[in-house]
Amino acid sequence: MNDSLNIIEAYFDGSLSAEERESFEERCVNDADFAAEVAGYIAMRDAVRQHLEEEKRAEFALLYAEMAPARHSQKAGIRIKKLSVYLAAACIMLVFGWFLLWKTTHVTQLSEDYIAANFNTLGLNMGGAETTDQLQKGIAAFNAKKYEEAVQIFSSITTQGRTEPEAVKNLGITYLVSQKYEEAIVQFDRLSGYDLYSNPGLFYKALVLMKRSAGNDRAAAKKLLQEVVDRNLAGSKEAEIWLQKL
Amino acid sequence: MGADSDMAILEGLKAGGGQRRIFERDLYKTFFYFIHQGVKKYGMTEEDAASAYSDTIISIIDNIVKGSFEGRSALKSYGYKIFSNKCVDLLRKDTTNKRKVNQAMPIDSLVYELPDQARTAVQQILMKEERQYLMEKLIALGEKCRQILLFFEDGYSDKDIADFMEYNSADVVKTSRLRCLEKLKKKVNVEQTLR
Repeated sequence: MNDSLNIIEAYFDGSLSAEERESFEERCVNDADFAAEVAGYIAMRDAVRQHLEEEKRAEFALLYAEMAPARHSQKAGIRIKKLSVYLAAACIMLVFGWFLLWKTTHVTQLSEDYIAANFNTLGLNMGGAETTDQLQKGIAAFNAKKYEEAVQIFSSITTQGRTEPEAVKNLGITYLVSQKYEEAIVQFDRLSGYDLYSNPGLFYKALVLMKRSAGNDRAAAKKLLQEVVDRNLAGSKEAEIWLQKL
Repeated sequence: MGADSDMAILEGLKAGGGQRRIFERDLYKTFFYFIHQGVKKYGMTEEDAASAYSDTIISIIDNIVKGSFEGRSALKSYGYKIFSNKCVDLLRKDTTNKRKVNQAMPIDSLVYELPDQARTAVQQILMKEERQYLMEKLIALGEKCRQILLFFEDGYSDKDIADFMEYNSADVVKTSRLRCLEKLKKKVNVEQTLR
């Protein structure tokens, strides 16, 4: 292990003594090689921080997409409130009849709302450098609604044993919006196997099952959502809310 | 939002562990209305206000985790002050070339922790470096290394990281983390690039 790296790290985590700190700072001024090592360390830490902030921004962008429509509809809700008092009585009878139907369509609606809010376009690319161009092309095809082309591009960079979670995620999403549910599930299963900082694989798989809502899909989705909450995986907040509604 | 809610978020963020991300999201949701205020007060687009708001939340989290925010003022006042500054910065960036300056040297760079003379010496070398290239190499570093570096940069302790990533101990995490930095350094050959 490079000893300089240990010393530099110790300086920035504050574990050097006052004398050692002073000596460190003097070396930065008088020893060009050491200053270059410190600069290298700072550059790497800055790059990691920049990457981290991009991931957080992407996560907050998803949260924004969830919350912004709610805020707008809340405003509209206030305006409609007065009128709704008069309509309420007339609606009560209809609501009773609708309730039975609602139970079955509700799950699908939740997933459709989420898909509409979050998968209209694909955003930040965090893939490997050598496949960045291909990922960007796939994202561009997806955003242009050319789903078949997007599938081809994402597939080409997720085969041959490559580890490219971002492409696997995008491929799953592309299958989902193309209503190819089986294929989407395969990709989200793959995604959930990666050791990621924030892995939405299981949450997305539950989303697919909710959207498809065939056979035991609803029960399976519920189980997955519970796992997402228990393990505090990506999507756990939505999963918590959905579990109360399912 | 009251002192109790402030305290819950502060403690949740400081406690670390897997629960921290829940409190990060709670914090984002708590002051979401700032975005609307940004649009009204600064005449900016909702998209820009949302971007300033995201950066505000990232700063608040960072300051709480590092212990720079001690809770002497209400979280709302503290957050709004940061948000206002971010909005003003964003508006200025639209009319000046400041964005390019910031890209050359991030304002939260570790270099600002050095005293004046040492900072000048190191900063002169840093300015020559190609940040985009370094970012690309970081992405290509491999998932495990990337994750361990991201967790650490996010303020998680080595013990937390050991729990998340199933390492045997905090010491093993530290050794692995420094090895990852060395690996990155070799990939970029930072020193040669910087000279």
